[in-house]
Amino acid sequence: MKYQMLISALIAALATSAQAAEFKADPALVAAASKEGAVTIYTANQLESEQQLAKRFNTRFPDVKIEIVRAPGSRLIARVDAEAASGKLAADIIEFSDSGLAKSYEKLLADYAPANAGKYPAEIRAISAKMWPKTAWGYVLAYNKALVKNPPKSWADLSKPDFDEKLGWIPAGAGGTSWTLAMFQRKVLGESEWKNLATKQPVMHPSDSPLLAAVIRGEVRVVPLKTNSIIPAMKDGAPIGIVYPADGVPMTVSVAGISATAPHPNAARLYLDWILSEEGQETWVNNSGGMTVLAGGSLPEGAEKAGLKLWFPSIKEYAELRNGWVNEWNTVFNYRQ
Amino acid sequence: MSVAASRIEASAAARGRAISFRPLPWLWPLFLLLILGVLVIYPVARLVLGSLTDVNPMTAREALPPLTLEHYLDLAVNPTVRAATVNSLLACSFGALLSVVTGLLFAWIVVRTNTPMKGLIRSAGLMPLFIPPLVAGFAWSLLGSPETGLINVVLQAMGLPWKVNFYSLTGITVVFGVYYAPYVFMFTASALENMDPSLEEASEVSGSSVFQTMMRITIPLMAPAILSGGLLAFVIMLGVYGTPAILGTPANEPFLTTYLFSLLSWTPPLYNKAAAVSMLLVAVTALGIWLQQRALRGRSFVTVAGKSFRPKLIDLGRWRYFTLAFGLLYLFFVVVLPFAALLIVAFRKYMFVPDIGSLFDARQYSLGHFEALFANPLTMRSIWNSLIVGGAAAIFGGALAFAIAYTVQRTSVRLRTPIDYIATVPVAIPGLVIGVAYLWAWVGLPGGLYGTTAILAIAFIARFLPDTMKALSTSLIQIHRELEEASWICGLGLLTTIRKVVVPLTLPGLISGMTLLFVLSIRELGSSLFLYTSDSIIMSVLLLDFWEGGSIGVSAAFSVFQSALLFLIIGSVSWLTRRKR
Repeated sequence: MKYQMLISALIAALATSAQAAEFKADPALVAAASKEGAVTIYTANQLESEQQLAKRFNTRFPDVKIEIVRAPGSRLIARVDAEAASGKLAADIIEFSDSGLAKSYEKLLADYAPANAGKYPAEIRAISAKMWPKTAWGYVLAYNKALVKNPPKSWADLSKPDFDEKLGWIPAGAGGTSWTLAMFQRKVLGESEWKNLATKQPVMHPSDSPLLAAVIRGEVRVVPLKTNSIIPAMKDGAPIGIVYPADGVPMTVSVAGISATAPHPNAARLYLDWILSEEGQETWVNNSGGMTVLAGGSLPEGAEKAGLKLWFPSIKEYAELRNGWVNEWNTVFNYRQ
Repeated sequence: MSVAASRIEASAAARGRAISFRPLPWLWPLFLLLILGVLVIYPVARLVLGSLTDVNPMTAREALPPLTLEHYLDLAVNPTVRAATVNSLLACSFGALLSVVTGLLFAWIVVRTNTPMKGLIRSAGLMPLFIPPLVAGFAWSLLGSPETGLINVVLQAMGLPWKVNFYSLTGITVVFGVYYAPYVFMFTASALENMDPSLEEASEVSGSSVFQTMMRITIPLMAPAILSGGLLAFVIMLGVYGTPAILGTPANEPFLTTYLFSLLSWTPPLYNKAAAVSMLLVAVTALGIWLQQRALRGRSFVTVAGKSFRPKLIDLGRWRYFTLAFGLLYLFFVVVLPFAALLIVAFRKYMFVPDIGSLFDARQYSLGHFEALFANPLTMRSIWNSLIVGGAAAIFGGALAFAIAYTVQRTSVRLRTPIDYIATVPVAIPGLVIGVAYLWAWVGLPGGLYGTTAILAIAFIARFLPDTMKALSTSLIQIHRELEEASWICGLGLLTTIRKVVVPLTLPGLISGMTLLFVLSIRELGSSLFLYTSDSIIMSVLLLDFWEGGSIGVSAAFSVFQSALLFLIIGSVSWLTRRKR
């Protein structure tokens, strides 16, 4: 709990919208990266979010083409396993949204630390010396504005009869983010929260992106989603609204490192240097609606006013409880066992 | 003498005259067996071994790890496996039943009635073959989702209280039924074409109505062909992943294929359990194939009598417009409506249709999804890879199928029977299972095949070997042995005879077999799901990625593009072959 409060306090205290310092790259690294010409990123983050980041990166470094290989967290890990086993790992950068599993992939990564390493919380740095919090996000609620006239204000509001069979959800075992949400529900909202939710018969979707599509289409009325899924869609005119639940925002820190067999190691380094810099993190927050654990980083649109209660899982519990609790979750929701 | 007896004699005589394979009498069949061993036996053996052990294929290096039945025992007690098996059997059985009704009706309309525009109806009956199951599932999710499906929007606008829900077992069954009807259609149409009409004439002369004749004479005579087509449709449905993945997931209805996929998508992936589920799928499929083969054996007694008949056309009178309407309605529901939905979604900015008026609001439409599709560097790569993989599978798979079909049918070399048998084994292995088997077989070999476009082509060749051989065998059978014998007498060797006589004569069959392989490879999803990497990604997998990533508009744009590409390829090949003739 001490750990969670520490990070929350850090972010809350330093949340300002001051102008981000411009990223200054090492010219030799830029030249080497430009010569390599490309960087391949394996990520479980939403494709559109990553494409936006790539676009911004390319306004600064147009000679480094970015290729994004996106899959739901668990599938991405299976893919990394298979490619590594056959000696065909094509990734330059690998991003893990499941920080509990990340540690066991350390051996695939090269040594790396950004110049501003000290500005990241020591607790996050403890995940692995080779992996850095490239992006962070919080789970909030999204609703279809045309179909929901009284949106929920908290997670607890979802138990109202208005939302029977109207919710979309994501299985706890689908990836790091959904596991964080399941853990938050049980630890913060109460032991019976899963059962309450299961009685609502939420429609399960394999990952965030189909959930977003489902709430936009009106297939479901309310869904839990990352801020960086909701805000860009809202800006683009999608008929959805965002709610920062009053009873807490479960946070996921997604860490990334450079593959030890990266075909483009310099380009990978340049990209990580940029995204981990103040400029990169501000781009992530202001452009893509994400969140950051960088000291002094800002919060996404609309979040300041809401008096956010950010909830970070303990990294120890995150790994230790995972298998047992996910199995229990599967039983409660009658999901795959 | 009965027809059957005369067939047996003819077959014995033909075998007596079969060309003895003088050069390399042992090496050639051993070479074919070696290829089949690599393509079929080794991956399947690895899969079986995987289901009986606890080893991880990614890291396993032990030659023979300890064996266990744990994964099979788990299948027996696991409620999700039970639900998935029941769902698969129910949807595929009723789907096959619907396919039989639809396919048979089509065959009857096209072959035996004087319905106008029969060419169009025949094409309509075959068109679903070229629509990938993923695209069909996707299109019907847009049309028939319970909350916002376009059909429901239209029903609501018309003030009707009805609602359709394709996110259900019934929805999947209906989609299966109509999209796999062509298999029944093909079987029953050829049976109807070859059927002796004298029995029907006798029935009509005795005063039976058209309907009575159909029920009492035609259908019982065709029972083996109907059963065979229906069972084939059943086993194909059983192996389909795309449709139940899209329509079954939101309803939390597991199928054997989707469950298998989820086992390998979990963290950590459950490889051994997946191998056991694969064996379950193989067992059910093999049972279906066995029944189908038995039914097919009976077919020759009634339909192939050694001479061809011109089937008598039934004058339907005014009812012929009713049968025409049925054909057009089918075309509308299977092709026009889904593609209209795909086009709407591909060009629509956001797939939220609050009312019918919004469908006609021009401001809602743009080329944005196509721009996003082609802005992604993986798109062009996947198109290129699909064409390469499809081309390689067609050329090498066509050559292999020809070599096997020729050896089995036209030579008397030893080991013909095991070669024939092994080459037919993939019929009983669903695509997804081939993918899992290849993953087991090749992933652990560093620097090997895994992750290349070659492994995808090899998996497709193995998967579709029986289909290609079947297409080729038909044309090989049609060439009289006298032509080859004449070539031998003129002193030409075996290879020259094949090159100068057999290949030119079977060329139309060879081209259509290769085209079939090319098309099947391009639309294949199941066997590639576990074999691709970012460098070797193909169109069907990328489409699934887009859909799973929630990019509905981009998925629709890609579906439209893929269908247009397939249409263009099939159209060009058939135009070229027609010109050549």
